[in-house]
Amino acid sequence: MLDEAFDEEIDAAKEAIESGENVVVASEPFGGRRTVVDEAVTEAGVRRVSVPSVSDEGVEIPDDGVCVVEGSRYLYTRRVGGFAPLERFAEDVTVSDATFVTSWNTYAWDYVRHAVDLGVLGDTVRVPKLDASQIARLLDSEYDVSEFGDDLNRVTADRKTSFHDSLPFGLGRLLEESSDNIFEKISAASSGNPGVARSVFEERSWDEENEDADLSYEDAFALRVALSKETVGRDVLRSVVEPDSLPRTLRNLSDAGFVETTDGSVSLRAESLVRVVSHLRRRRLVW
Amino acid sequence: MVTGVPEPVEVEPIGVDLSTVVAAVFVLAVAVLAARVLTYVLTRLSERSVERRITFKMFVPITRFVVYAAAVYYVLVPLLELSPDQILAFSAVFGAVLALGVQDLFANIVGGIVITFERPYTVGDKVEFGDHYGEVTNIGIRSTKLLTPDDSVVTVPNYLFFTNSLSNANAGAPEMMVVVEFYVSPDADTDRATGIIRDALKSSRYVYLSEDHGVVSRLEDAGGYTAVRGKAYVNDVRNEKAFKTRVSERVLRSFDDEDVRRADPAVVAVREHPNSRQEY
Repeated sequence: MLDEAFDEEIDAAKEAIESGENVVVASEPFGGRRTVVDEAVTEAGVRRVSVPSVSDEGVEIPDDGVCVVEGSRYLYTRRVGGFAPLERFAEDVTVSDATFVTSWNTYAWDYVRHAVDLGVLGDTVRVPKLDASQIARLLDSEYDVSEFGDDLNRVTADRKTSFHDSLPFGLGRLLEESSDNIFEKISAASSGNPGVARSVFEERSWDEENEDADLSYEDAFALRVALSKETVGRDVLRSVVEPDSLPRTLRNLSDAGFVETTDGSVSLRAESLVRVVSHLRRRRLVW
Repeated sequence: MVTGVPEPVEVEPIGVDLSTVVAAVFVLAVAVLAARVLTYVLTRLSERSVERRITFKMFVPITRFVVYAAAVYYVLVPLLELSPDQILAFSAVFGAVLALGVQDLFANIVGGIVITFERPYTVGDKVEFGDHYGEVTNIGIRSTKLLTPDDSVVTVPNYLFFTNSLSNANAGAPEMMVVVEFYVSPDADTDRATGIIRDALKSSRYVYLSEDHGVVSRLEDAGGYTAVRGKAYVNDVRNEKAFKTRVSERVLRSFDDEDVRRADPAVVAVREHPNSRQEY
């Protein structure tokens, strides 16, 4: 179903690849960039390079053909010397004859493209947000939504959602929040993000109040890093925030429901994405 | 018969009784209270978001001006019921009072009105005004208050706006440019020094980057040492000091880690620059 929703973006990426142009596919965390990349690159013999975590080691890339690079957000860290792997990667792309499709987290891409000259990676195809009827069709295709049959019929039948999207100043989202229709509520709670919508539906959290968290700047910056990386090792966070305060910072972020922590890593919680972005935007850590 | 001399005008006395005075005092008290409440509400709203802070605060002096102007109008016209002749006579007396020695106060008030509407700066801006530099925290009827980087509050009379040059670092935007300068030895690896400074700026937790807000660096052979200057935008004017401090700490630590030799302090001339922090 997502491939239908993103058909324009898939076509744009395909067109770039067919003409031998590098292309960047960017979406929010859980926003569906993998779908766009997978649908755009269907030919056999495509080389896939994955960057699984932050590392000073570079990535090996081919000299020809089509190459999909996943996990590009791990090619830089916010510290002195932390951009070197990405700079080396951009230099390698410059001298390679291959066509590169790099997949990016929007919050990482919109920061790092202003920090490092990445024009060589090509034009950016941005994965759009879904409206309420698309969210409804997505959930209908993946879950049993029969208990919300009336809401499903209403939201997919009328054209109100496109009217909501056309309203300025976030008024459409406000209308959806106050709607009785569960799919409009999920659309508002997920801000049109398919991965977040799945999570909200699974957690049945569409009616939850979004209270803001009381975080220090240090905590908020660690959250900014987690937002860019989606999952990040504690060692990486320790290199960009005060190492002594990291345990307290992680506890605060975890208590606020923003991240999940394991022994070795910290992951952004999908259902908290809208709150995270809203909080960081207010602090001007996202712009 | 003498011509050209205007006939003397008989101005009716202003009928002021105790109830009128009480009402006037009440109106002015309500105006003061209303101005304070509105200032409080706008300030609370402004602090909810860095992006909108200065926009909201811009309305604080305007709101206060409108409230006070409305109160003065209400006292002079509906309450005292002044006729045009009485208003003229009042103006003449007011002019005489000015001539007798409160012209400075009047100049400050006019300065306050001009600042409110022309907006060479607004609450939240970082300005350099005469010898003073700091964040504008209040634009009053008589004076402007600045909070300096060392947490002192400086009160600047508004009339100085007419006679002094003014430098506004952010002009209503939340972000502002910050300059850091470091001095390295002439035989130091200046490429590496520049790379470290640029990395420290663009990876900072306080940086603001966009199409129009990039990181810039410049080298200058100062004879006996090399000055390396880096410029970037801080995301919130209030983070200026923290931005400079953390960038300086990280740059100096990296200089030491990577053996970038700093200049000998003895040969570095102390240079004054309002927006820079000098490091050796």
